[in-house]
Amino acid sequence: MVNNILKLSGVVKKFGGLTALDNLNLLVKEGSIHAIIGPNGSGKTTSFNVVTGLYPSNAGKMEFNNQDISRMLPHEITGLGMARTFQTLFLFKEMTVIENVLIGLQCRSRYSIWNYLRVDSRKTEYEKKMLEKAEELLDFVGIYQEKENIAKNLPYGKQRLLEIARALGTRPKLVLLDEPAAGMNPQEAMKLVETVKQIREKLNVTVLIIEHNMRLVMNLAEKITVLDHGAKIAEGIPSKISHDPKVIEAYLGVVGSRKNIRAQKQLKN
Amino acid sequence: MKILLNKVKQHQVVLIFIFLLFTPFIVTNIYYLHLLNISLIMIILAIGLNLLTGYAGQISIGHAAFYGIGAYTSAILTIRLGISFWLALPLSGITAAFVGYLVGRPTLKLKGAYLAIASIGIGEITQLVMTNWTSFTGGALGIKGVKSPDFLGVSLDSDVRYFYLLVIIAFLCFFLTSRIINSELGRAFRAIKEEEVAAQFMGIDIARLKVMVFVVSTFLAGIAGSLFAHLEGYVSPYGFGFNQSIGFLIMILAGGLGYKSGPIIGVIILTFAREFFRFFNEYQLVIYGVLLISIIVFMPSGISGFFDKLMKRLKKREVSKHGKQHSEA
Ligand SMILES: Nc1ncnc2c1ncn2[C@@H]1O[C@H](COP(=O)(O)OP(=O)(O)O)[C@@H](O)[C@H]1O
Ligand SMILES: [Mg+2]
Repeated sequence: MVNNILKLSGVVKKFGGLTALDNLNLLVKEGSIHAIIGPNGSGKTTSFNVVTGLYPSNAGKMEFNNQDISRMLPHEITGLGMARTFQTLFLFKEMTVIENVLIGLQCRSRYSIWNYLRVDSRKTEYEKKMLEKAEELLDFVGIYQEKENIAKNLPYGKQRLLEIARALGTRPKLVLLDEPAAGMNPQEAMKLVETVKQIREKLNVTVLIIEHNMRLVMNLAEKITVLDHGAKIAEGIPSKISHDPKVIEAYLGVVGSRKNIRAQKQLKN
Repeated sequence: MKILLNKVKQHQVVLIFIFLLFTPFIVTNIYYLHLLNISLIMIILAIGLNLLTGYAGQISIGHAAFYGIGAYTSAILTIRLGISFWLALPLSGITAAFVGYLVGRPTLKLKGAYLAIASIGIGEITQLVMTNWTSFTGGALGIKGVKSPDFLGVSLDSDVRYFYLLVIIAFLCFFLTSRIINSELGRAFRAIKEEEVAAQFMGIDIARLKVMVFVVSTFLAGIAGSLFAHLEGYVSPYGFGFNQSIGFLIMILAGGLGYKSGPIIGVIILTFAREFFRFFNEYQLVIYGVLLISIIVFMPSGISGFFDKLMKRLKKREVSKHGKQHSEA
């Protein structure tokens, strides 16, 4: 039997009077690529923010690798092996690309100040190893040639890839990607699909992905969870989801913006 | 390449050290040497403040209070309890750091500028205690008769001798903090400054690290305070107030936040500029103000930042020139 790496039961998140997550249950199978979709404002990003400990939940239980993480802080959850990227990029903008990844790699350092005041000959060796690993990760997402550039000077699509590399640097078991293709051109998005697949195949990391681009999701995910107004309205394999009347309605229901109508068309294809 | 650079830097450091050894023979005017000594003391404090503000992005508007706590601790320990300077020096740092911990622990947990506000508060409280708790602090008159330290039987009672003590301690502080800055810990501090939200997801306990850097910086302020007390021979509430705190911030700002040389350059240039502007009599402060504004307008990343960027640009131009020559060949 396959283990559920992430298990949410009855998770509620309220912002004042707004219920952003409404009794959410979610099982993410270890080794899978699992997608969360839903119209704008349906609570997708909030679900990531609650799972990763950025916001405390109002009710419910969250387990990661059979460990209760309901009351843990982000840095503790990162230490357990969960990493994430952000829809609104949060890179260390003034640092170089490789430094961004190095920060990910050093995520299990204990930061005892005495360690850093001492002279230790093993340190340089350790640093060299870290650099090598960072370069590997940059190569993995395909931005190795940018390694010495300042992060904020990268084009948008590459900044998104850097966020992924940085997250992978924390050596996660599960990585949460929040709309990684947003702002990418079609070629970049296609390459991203391959990269995400490799995250699972080569690095053995489970992927939970929020994505607006329907074609991309259908291509990638084995299982899709659909949110609307903070509640789960459907769940299943892509072919089933794309024909689910509830899903189609949710997407159309959001005052037929052009983006959503396009999404609707994509759903039907 | 990196190792080579480090070697060049090592040579630079040795050269600077030798230069400093001869400084008392060059700066023969005892008044300027005294000013240099005060500068070295402020550099120690500014190094800590730069670590806090320039690297970790946390703002303290009350660092002069910790400077004062260090000075008074050292005065009281050596005079009232007869403790040796060499023990009082670290104890002054520890006392300031302990107060720093008490202030930082609750405020740095919260998001926002609570440390900045609390540090103004601790500045005011410290002033009140210094001026009003007369039996303990000597009130407005302060405590006189703080002795010069002895080193192997030699009293460091002249500015020349004290200069060497200060150079050694300042160098030590510079090296140890540089080691932190260059380490993973330094990178974690910068991460907190740049993007606090993301830093948490890099496994960084931001509350803990902020308290840590604040404690380090208040420790250095306390050490500086102790050195100040034993240089001047007395302590009084004057010089540890709000204005001085702002003065320290201006120094690291002008020197260049987040540059290792920033605090050194900021302290030296501003201290001596102010002195030389005395020449302009009543216009002294006006001209000093113009200098500050010019630095901030024309060198937004401080003097060190300005020259660092200039050097990088020159280097880049050189590289691209070489590149062209290669492609032409
Ligand atoms: N920090 C916050 N404070 C208040 N309301 C929020 C906050 N974050 C999200 N929301 C609200 O919660 C709802 C869900 O937002 P979000 O999770 O970002 O949606 P999605 O990612 O699906 O587009 C929205 O109505 C949004 O305005
Ligand atoms: Mg979102």
